[in-house]
Amino acid sequence: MDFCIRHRVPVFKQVRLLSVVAVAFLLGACLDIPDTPEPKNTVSHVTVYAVQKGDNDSASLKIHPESSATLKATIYPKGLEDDLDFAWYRDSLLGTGATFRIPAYAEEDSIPNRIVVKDGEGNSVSVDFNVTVNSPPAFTEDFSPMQGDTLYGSTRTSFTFCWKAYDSEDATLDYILELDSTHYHVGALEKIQQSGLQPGAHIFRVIVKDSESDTDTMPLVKFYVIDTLEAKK
Amino acid sequence: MKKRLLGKNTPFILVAVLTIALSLCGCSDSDQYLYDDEDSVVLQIHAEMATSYEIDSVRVREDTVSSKDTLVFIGEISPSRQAHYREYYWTLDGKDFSNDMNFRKPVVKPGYHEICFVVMDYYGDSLRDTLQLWVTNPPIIEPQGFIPAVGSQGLSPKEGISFAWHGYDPDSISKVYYRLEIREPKGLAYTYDLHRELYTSSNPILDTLIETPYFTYWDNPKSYHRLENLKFYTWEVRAVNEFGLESDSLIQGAFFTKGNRNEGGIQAFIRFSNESLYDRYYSSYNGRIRLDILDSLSNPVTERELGLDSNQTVVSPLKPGRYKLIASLPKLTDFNPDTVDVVVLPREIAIADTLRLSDTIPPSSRILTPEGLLFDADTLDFGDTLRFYFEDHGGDLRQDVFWNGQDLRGFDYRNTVYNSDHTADTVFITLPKSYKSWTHQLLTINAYDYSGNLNSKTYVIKPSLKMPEPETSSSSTNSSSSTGGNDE
Repeated sequence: MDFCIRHRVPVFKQVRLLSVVAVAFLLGACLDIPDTPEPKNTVSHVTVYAVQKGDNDSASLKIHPESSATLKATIYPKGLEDDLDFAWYRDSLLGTGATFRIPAYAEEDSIPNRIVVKDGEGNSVSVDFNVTVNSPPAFTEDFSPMQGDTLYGSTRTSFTFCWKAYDSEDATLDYILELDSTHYHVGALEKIQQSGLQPGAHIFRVIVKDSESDTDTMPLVKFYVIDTLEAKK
Repeated sequence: MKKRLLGKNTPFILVAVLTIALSLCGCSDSDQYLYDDEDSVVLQIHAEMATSYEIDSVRVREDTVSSKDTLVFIGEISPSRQAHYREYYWTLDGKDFSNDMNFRKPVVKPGYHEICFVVMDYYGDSLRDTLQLWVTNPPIIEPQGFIPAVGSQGLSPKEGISFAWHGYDPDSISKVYYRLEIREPKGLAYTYDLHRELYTSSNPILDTLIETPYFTYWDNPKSYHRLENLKFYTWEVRAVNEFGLESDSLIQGAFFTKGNRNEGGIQAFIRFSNESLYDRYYSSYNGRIRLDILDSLSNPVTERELGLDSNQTVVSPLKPGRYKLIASLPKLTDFNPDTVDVVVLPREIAIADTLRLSDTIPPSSRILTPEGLLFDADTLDFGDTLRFYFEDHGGDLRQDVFWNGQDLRGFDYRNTVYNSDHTADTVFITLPKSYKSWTHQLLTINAYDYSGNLNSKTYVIKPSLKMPEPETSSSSTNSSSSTGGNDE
C-alpha cells in the first residue's frame, strides 16, 4: 500500500526532493571544517659533512689526516634531531649521536661510511658516504732562485727556475708558476727555463695543486737580474 | 498530456526510432571504413642534416659540429601527400625542436644530442628517424704566457728543454691533445703588411702528439733528428680535441740552443731591396747569397753560401769576440753588398743587424738591328719587327709595352728571348699592318728588374703611310685641291 502511495507521487516532485537533499549534503560537506593536520615527522633526507680546523664547508667530505675532524649529520626538515637516534657505521657500529669525531691520523677502518637515523617508531633512514682523507701538497725548501738571489744575463738569457713539492697520495702534481705578474701553467714540470727578464727586481712563486684540489703556495721569492752581458759589449 | 504520452507511448516511439536507425545503417557504405590491406599505404620517413640547402651540400645522419655552426635539418615523408599522415615534428633530446619539415637552426649546447623526426599517422601510430649530433667547441690554446719565451738563449738539449703552455677544452667535455713540432727554419717570410714570421720548409726535428700542455725534450743520441748546440729552432703547438676540432690559435716560438763555455754564434738575417725578390727567386740560376765572416782585424774567419730561398742563417761555433759580416750576391752585381758588425758572447748566439742587399740600378735598353748591332735612338721607322735589347744584373726582367698609351698586355705580336745567363732579354715586337698610319705613333716600353727598378722609354714611330691624294673628279674638288696645294 505504501508502495502504491509513493508511486503516485509525481516524478518531478521526487526529483526536486532528491535535489534538495543533494544540495544539503554538499553544503554540509562544505561546512565540514577539517581537523588541524598532524605535523609530518618524516625525515626527507640526511646530509653528512666534515668540519676540520674551522672549515665549515657543508658540501665537503674531505679531511686532512694530520688533525682531528668532526662529521656532522644534518636532517631535513630541521628541528627533529632531539627525537632521532644517529648511528655511525663502517661494517660495525662506530658511534652514536649527530656528530662523530675522527681523531688525527685515524685508521681508515675507524672512519664511518654510513649513517642510520631512527625515530621512536622504528622508522629509519640510511645514507652512505665516503670521507676522503687527503694530505695537501707541500713545498720543500728546495727551490731556485732563492730569496734575494742575483742572476746575471740579458733579456735573452734563459734563467732556470726549479721547485719541489711533495704529496703523500699524488705522484704528479699540477703547478702554476707566477713570474712577476704572469702566470704560467707548467703542469707537472718542476724545472723550467725562461727568458725575457729585464734588469732589476723580480718576484716568483709557485702554486701547487693535487688531484683533490688541495693546494699549497710557495713563499714569494724576490730576486734580481743584472745585465752584465750587455755591459761586456 | 505530455505525461501521459511519455508514460504510455514511449516504448513504441523508441522501437520506431531504433528500426529507422537500423535501416539507415543498412543503407550506409560502412565497408569502406574497414581495414583493407590492399588499400593501405606504407609511410616511410627519412631525416638528414646538412650545413646548407645547396644541392651539393653533404647530407649526413651523424656529425660533429661547432656550436657556432648552423645546421639545416631535412625531413622527408613518402608518400608525401598529407592525406597519409596527420602531423610531424622534430625533437631535440626529447624536447620540442621544430614543427617545420625542413628548417635551419643551430644546436649550441655542447655534448651529444639526438634529433628525432617524428611523423604521426591518423591511426595514432608514429614513425621516428633519429640523427646523432656531437656539438663541441674547438679547444683553446693561449697564444701568450708560454715557456720558453720567444728568442730564449742557452737552452740545453742534454739538460732538457721544457715547453709549457695553457690549453683547455672550454666545454670540459672532450679530451684535448697537443701537437708539438720543432723545426730548424730556413728563413723569414714576409706577409703583405711586412710582419715577418719564421718559416721553414724542412722536415720537423720533432713532431709529437701529447695529452699534456707541457713537454720536456731530452737529447737522445740514438735519434736521427736531434737538436744541436748553438742552433736556432722554432717550435709550434696546436690544440685539437678528440672530435678533431683544432684550436683557432696556435703558439709559435723560437729559441737558441746552448754552446760550450768558449763558443758562441751569429744569427744573420738578409733582406733584399724588394721583398718580392725573395718570393720570386725560385730557381738557382741567379746564384746564391754569400756571407763572409771576418774577425776584428778583417781576417776571414769563415764563409757561407745560402740559397736564395733562405734569408736567415746561424753561423756557429765562433769564439767570443767582434766580427764583421758581409753579405753579397756574386752573380747579381747590381746588388750592393752590405756589412754589419756584431759581438759574439760566450754560449750565446748574437743576433746581427739585418743585412740589406739593395739594387738601385734600372735595366738598360737599346735597339737591336737585324744584323745584331745595338744602338740608341728615339725615333724608329715602322717595321715588320722591332727589336729591343734589355740588360740588367739584378735578376730577371719583365717588360710592359704600350702603343699610343694602350697596354699591349697579352699582345700576340711580341716575343721575348732570354739570354742564357739571364742578364738580358731581347724583345721582338711585330706590329700589324693595321697599325700603319700617316701620323707619328708612340711605342712605350717599361722594363722592370726584380727589385722594381724601372726603365721607361718611349719611341716615336715615323708615319708609315703616305698622306691620301686629294680627289680631282669635280670642279668644287678641284677648287679645294688647289687650296690644298697652296697649303703644301
